Amino acid sequence: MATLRMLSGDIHKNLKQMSDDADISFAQVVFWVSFFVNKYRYTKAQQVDSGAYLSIFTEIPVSLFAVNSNPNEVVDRKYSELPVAIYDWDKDRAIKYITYSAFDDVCYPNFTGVTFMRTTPSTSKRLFMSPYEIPSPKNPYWYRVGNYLYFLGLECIDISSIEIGLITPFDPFSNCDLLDDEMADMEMFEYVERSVLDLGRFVMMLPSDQLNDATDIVTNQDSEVTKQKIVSVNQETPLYDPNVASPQQ
Amino acid sequence: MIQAQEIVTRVLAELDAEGSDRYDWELDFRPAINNTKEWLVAMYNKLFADNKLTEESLRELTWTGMWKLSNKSRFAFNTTDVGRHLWSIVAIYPKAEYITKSGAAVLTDEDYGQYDAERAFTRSKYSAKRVTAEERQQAYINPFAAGSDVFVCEDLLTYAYVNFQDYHGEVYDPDGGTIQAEVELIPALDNEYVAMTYLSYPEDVVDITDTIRFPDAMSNLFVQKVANMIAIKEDAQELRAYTEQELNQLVQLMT
Repeated sequence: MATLRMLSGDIHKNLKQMSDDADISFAQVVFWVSFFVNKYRYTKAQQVDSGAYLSIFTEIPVSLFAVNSNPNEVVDRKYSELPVAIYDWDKDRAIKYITYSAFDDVCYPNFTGVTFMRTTPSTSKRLFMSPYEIPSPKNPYWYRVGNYLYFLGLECIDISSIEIGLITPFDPFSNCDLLDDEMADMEMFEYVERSVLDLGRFVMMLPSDQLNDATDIVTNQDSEVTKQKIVSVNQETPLYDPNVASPQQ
Repeated sequence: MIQAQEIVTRVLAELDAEGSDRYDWELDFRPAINNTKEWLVAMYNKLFADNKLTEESLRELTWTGMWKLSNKSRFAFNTTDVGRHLWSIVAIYPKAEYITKSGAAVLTDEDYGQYDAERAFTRSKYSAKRVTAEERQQAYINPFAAGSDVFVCEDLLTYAYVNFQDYHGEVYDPDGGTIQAEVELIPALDNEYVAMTYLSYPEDVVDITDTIRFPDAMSNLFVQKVANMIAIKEDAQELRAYTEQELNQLVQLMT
């Protein structure tokens, strides 16, 4: 099955065939591929209830800031730092769950313990008006401030760490294994390859007299700007759409 | 490789001077052959610059050796150690793997890069890209520039080398001033092994039994040029057109 290295290598070779003097590194192609993969996943993961892109981070420390420091660092409020970047969806949906284990013996997985609910600084006051919603160790809340997750309801207990489930972006630059891991969602290859090649063509859209063709002679024809063939100006390359049957179905 | 003797024999035939003492090795042939060699070097330089030929086409002059980098990630091409003069760098392979014989000496001096004749290159995953002295600075700010060390994944790194520069000064004199200009690898690979494929500069012929390290396909061109230098007047035409014609002939011979 295909890997990111295969996909990027194929695109790199195609771009080099279009312009062999172009100085495009393999890392650049991987970078371009990664942001189209992320665009695809950003769309798909909102529409599909799947654990394909879920990443679980355990033993994330819960800490306290010793001093105030603007912005975002507030003293005496329990917080954890997001371990990685996440997609910025509505209502922080990229944070699938936050839990801590309330069991004395560890027979059960951490995420079956106490689950945190989401709130925001501007709406949390209402929670304290309802006995069923008031933040407490058994009913804790979290709110996101930049890369920090602050907690409500843990003020009177000590917990050292939490477990977080996050929908994480595709990042081959910090996880080198991704280069050679088989990619699960091969249905996106056509979209990614076409998008990167389009981008590559756009990047290389230079007047041909700036290309090194090993000749000193410049003709009027050489100085014309190369034009990209426009397939359609109205329709974007389609992303994931669950309502459209794939050709195989 | 072309035998000097063969050139002499064929030029004599061309000049219809077989058995004659009219043309002398020391006075005529040796200077003409060496001048032809220099002329060919100039022609090749032009073709390399124009991307019409690659250095690999000169198989007889292509060598690959191993160097251990200094703690500044540099090495010098020491003609005495290598036994050849450098014409052009074809490729530099960082993190080179090699074979060696048992009991081979381990180079311990870390202050300057050295040629290691006891190690032979086998393979490397990497090839360094040549950058200019100006472009080197890009590596520190642009992760996609050759030579940048920003990426954690080694497979995404593009190694680069800065061509020979003399870094000597009052505070940098790693080998008592004896080493020459050095190549620098970026990102730094201090005290690691690199392999370099290079073109050696063709040696002058001294004796008629010497060989000229150019492809056999060059023989006819070589004979014509030597004959021109000795006795035959060139066609009356514009020098630029004549040179272009010779360049095209050279490309045809090599392809």
